[in-house]
Amino acid sequence: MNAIAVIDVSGLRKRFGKTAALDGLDLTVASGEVHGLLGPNGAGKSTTVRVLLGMLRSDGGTARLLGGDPWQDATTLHRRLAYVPGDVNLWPNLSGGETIDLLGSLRGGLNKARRDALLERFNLDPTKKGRAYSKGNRQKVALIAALASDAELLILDEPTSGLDPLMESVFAECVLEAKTRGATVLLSSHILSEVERLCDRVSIVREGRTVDTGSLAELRHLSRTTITATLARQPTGLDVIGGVYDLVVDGESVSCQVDPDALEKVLRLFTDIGIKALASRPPTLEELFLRYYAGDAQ
Amino acid sequence: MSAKAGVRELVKLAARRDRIMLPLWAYALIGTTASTAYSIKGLYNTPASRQGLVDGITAAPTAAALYGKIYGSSLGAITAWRAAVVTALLAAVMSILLVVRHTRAEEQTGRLELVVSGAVDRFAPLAAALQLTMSVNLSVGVVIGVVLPFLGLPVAGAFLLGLSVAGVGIFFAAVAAVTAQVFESSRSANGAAFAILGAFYLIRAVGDMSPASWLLWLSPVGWVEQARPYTGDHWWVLILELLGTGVAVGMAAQLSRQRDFGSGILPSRPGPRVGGPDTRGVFGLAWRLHRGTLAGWTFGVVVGAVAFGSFVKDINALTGSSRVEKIMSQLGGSQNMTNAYLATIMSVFGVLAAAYAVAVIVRARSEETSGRLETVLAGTAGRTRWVLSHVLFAAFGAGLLLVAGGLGAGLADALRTHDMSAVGTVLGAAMAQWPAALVVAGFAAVLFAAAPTRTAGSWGLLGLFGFLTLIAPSLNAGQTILDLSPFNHVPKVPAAAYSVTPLVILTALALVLAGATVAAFRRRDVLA
Repeated sequence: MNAIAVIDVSGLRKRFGKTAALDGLDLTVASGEVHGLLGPNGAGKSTTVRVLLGMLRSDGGTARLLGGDPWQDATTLHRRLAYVPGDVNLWPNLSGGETIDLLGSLRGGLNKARRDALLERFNLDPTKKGRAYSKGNRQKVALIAALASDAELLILDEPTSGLDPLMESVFAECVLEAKTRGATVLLSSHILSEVERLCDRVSIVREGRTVDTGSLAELRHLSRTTITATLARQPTGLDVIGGVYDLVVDGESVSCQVDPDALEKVLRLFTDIGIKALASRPPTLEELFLRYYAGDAQ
Repeated sequence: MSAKAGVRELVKLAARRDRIMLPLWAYALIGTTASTAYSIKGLYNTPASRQGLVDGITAAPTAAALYGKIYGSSLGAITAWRAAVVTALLAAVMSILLVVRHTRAEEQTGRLELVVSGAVDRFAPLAAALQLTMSVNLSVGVVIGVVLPFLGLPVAGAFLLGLSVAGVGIFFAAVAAVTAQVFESSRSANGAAFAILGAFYLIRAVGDMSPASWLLWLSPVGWVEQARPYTGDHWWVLILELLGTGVAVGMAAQLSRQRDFGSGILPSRPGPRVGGPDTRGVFGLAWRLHRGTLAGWTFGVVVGAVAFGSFVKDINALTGSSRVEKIMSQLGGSQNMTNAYLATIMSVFGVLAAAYAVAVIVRARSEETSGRLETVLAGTAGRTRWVLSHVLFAAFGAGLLLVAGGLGAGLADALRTHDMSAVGTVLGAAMAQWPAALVVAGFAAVLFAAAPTRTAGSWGLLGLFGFLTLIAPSLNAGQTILDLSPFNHVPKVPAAAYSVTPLVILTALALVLAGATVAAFRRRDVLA
């Protein structure tokens, strides 16, 4: 992975009236990576994407896209990217096939052979009129138009909402193929399994700010490991070790979550007692995610 | 139809959703009638002055074409002549918009699916839309009946005027109920209902201008005239309106039984697998979005133009009495009468062309609110090109309508008089309206670019200009107020000489507005 930043955003601010949609957001996406933008509804994911597309003018901070200014150079930059919105609305009187070709012509051409292959893979009937498509099929139209282009950058804003699991997996294959072609992908999502499967790095956003960013391995490193064990006898003294959470002791069975710093102490204690069975697993993205948002309630 | 499950709740829901729109419509309808009665009472307070007005009107077939014939010289008769057809038209427009909005439009967005999945009868949405629309019309009719006597008009005629207007509104609610069953999109349902309204208006206009006055009986818009409030009070015309409504409602009910939820009687056909050469880039997209509507408008304008144009020759024949001839000679001879008629028709075309331009700009706004603009601007087109694709369509679409109107009226006249020079004269007169229509388009575009959430306000502006151009002059409004409308600066060709200066100024103003549109649109946020 080379280090040239395709997207470089720092301290981005955008207000709508009294609400601050973006409040100092940072985002760096390197060339050739699939980058996940994670966050709950209203965190500012779509606003970020719209600033990057030059739809919205930021109130502060800097944003660079493909080496240019997303507001000033919108037209030239858009030649090199393809976008899929989360809620696709099609022209009611244009057929799906016409819409795909129109969107292609609007971004300077598309790969016809790949378009036909994608129509096949996504199992889409291109002769239906826009108003006749279901939500999932509208989403497919926009996805096919974007994936059939040779864009360097794909900006996908919750692109799989409404797709069935079969189509979700077709979508995942297509994203990985795009990556193989050398494209960079910014994938905003809250489907964690999808992000886990596809993304090299993720940025987690909350209330218009980036709360964490890095590869999944890095994020996990900073987070708690879940340990379940069956010991020789009922353990004591686990609850006094700092950095142990969600401790459940049921006779000889133990399960808990442990901070990286406390791992050694816990394992030593287990060894002293005697281990019959031990399983540890890194935190799932879901656990990471919930930990960041647990703060929201406070 | 009212005993069906869910109708009450749906009527309440619709009334709540339209709690601002409905009072405004009611106010516009009642206000049109009441203000007409009030101003006529003030302007023509002696029998002699009223007789003079009636003679003038009888001499001008334009007036008969627009408002219908005048049947008496009492205050009530003049008020009824001036207000009945116009208010009935407004009531019909309101009813069509309301019924389609609460039936087909709701079905199209999928919201109605949520409603019908509840303990709600399948016909409840249609019944509720009709019930609400009919109640609004009826209330307006009753209020007109109550208000006019306060302005000194007899009670019976006031109620007949109000109720016959309401009857037309109710009839067109039923017409819209039928078109909402036939078409799958609310745009087509509205378009078809408006086309029917336009056709009936035209039939009435022809019936009023030609010896074939029996044509009035074929048009529900003519029925309101045939009710003759204050000049005979034909109450039984209300029964005719009721019967017509009953037939249309029966048709709508029958059609709704034959179709699936979400589809129309006319199914939507499959489209092409791939995009053609006309679906390329933003200009291709604008063409696809606007071509159908433009074709419909052009057809309507041509039909209207041919109908009005073929009566130019009869203008002189229609002026019979000695008193009329005296008025005519004061105006400067019969030739001028013909030209005055043509000039008035051209003003109508000018306002229509501007209305088309406003519709284009409002459609551009709906591209933004639907989120489709975002998808387009994510491509390479750029904001300037996109906004120009719509502004230019508005401008040249309006121009095309004026060419169609001018050619249609000119050819129809020329074929009857065997004088081909009429084509050039009438076409030139129509084209003189173009700069004024462009100015209206420019105001609408600037509103869209600078204050997008207020885009629909351009309809209000158009309504104001239309009023100042087509109605206010006969109400003796001051020149300063009349000057606000760009159409009042257009030389009244061919009645007046072709003066270039105002046309150049209007065109320059339109260009400035177009420039402001591009500048403002490049600067603002695009929001779904």
